[in-house]
Amino acid sequence: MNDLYDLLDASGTETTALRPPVPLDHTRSSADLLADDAGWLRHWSRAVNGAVVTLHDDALSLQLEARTNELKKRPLVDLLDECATRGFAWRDVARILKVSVPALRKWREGGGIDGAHRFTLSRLVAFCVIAESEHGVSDVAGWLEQPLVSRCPVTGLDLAADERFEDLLALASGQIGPESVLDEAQPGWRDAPDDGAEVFIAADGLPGIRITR
Amino acid sequence: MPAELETWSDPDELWLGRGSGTNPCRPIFTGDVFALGGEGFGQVVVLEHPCAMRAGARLADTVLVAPVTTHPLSSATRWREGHFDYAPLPELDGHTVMSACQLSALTRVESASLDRSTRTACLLPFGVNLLQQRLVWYLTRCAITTATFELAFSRFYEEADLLEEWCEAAIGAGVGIEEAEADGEGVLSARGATGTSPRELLADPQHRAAVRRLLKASAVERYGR
Amino acid sequence: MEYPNPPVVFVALEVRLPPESGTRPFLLADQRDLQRSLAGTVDDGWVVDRLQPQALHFTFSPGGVVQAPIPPTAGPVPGAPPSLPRLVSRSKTTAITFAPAAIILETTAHRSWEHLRSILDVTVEFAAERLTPDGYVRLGLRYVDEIRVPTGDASPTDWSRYLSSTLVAPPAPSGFESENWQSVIQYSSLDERHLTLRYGLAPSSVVQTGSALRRPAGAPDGPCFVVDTDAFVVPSDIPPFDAGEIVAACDRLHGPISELFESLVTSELRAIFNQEG
Repeated sequence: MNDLYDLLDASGTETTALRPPVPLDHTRSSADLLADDAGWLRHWSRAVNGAVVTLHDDALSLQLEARTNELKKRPLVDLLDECATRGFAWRDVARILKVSVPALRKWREGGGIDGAHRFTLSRLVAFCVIAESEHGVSDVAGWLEQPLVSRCPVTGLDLAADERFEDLLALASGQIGPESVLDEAQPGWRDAPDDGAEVFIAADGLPGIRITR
Repeated sequence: MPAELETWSDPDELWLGRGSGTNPCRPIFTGDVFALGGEGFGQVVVLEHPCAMRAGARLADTVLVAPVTTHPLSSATRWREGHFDYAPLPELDGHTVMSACQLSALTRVESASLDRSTRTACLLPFGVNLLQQRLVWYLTRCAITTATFELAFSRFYEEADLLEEWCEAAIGAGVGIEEAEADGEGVLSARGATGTSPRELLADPQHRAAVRRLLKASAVERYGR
Repeated sequence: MEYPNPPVVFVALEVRLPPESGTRPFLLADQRDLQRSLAGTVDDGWVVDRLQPQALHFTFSPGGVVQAPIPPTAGPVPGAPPSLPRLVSRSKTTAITFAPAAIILETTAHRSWEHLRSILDVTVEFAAERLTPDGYVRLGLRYVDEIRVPTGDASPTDWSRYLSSTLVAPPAPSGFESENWQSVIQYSSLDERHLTLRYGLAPSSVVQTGSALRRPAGAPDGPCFVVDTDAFVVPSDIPPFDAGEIVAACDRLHGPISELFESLVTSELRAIFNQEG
């Protein structure tokens, strides 16, 4: 639907003399709901200041915290199973928990886990649950393995390893773009080293690397 | 920014396992360190490329390796600036004495001499990529980023992980390692209704989680674990 | 006032719940039961449905909202919202959608407030009993009218025959013609009700047939005058989810909408609304 407030927001000669009134939030249709789920506040941030954006980020943190606290009480084997059934590589789970793969293997084989690592593991599972149930990410593990942008190797797993779960939820909800996430998480990403090489499939069907310039 | 040789921040980001932390179920792979014993060799590191190491589940008859020695240079940043005939292996033995493999002494060994029971360390993908970067630089003076190596060859790292977990399940059910590896190889190679095998799907990161789920379900079905 | 040929093309009624209101999920069995409760309220019957995400992906980037089509072979779409349970009329002109923090009743085939109210009554009663929300944080009722007059591409000057002078643009200076105008006015009352009136000339229909709802006769081409009236209440506390009180509150929203609309149109336009067919 083309809203009249969209027309009012169209750029024109800049002036401080008169601005259109800031519309209060609007009664939504179901189409609004799908395109702009819980992030309607951020949509309106075109007209309202950044305090509205902050409110939305806090809501994500609270939601993640609440779900993490619920999951912390689950047995370790259940939490690890939640990761396995989603298709996470143990090497990636170990990286997110900041432990070695052998240490994680001990937990998988029945060893005890300390509180701090249990918290992080619960947080990872909480993130997965929220991403699936609230933001429609049907394959969270697969989603996290993809680069955020095509010209940069940073993946969602890299952000998860930095515990940037709120950023990932904001990304999943469509309220923030991948480049904005990267600008905050890895400010130098646009200047990543470039070796002038590309990956290609050689005549034997296996990948190779060649220099293109 | 042009590419240059990279280095590590923390040795733990290089190693998948060392000493008792190495998993005997893991297939032999690039970056594995073996204590060969016998005359002439202490430890060696496998430098054979993952693509060239096997024919199906069977290891090639000989494998490219480099001998491991101690090295006086311990600074991670200074390894970027010289000693290009060596590739550093920090804290290989779990302590601060620097080890390195001698790229100028590349040789081949019989794959039969690479016994998992004598494997002393395995590298994480970043460690393998760093090793390959160093080897390519030594041989050709061409600087390829570890990101490019990851992009090109991460599917093989995934495959090794999957076979490791497959073999864990199989061995837990009393199956021998060779039979387990052959079974796992079969599942990875089997073409589904679309004509694509799980191994081929590993080429695309977005499908890897699905392949892991498939292998896990297949292992449970076959071995009950 | 109800007209045989009304300009209203879309009505939405939203009951917004607290974000973590703890409602239990709306299950298929619930949809079936509500379908039975609503039997006879629409001519063509209700269908149990799920509202699927649109086939476009919206991202917010520094350059603004960007949308791109999702190729059919693409994998999961990060950011694509989940499907939502809903009941929709067979003609897909009326729907009731249940989101985690909102219930939306909407129609492109508005008959009368009494009719819409009857559907609302059953729906909120059902929601109170089955979903047990803690309360509500906002009630909103929105009417979107697309006014078209027989003279077709009427210049703004012509609109003065049909619309209150308060809606019409001031006369253009010599050598100029007014080609477009839009306005937003916000009203508020002492009892926490607000009304946002947006109006202006639009080059084409503002309500399009989509995957969520369709317009019964499609969206006509050509310019129209749009009146978008959105009345809502945002309580300072969180009232309990009482079905009767919610319906009464919506009555108190409908009244001002109707009153305002009648004040905006002339008898000549009203005559067009009264024409049959």
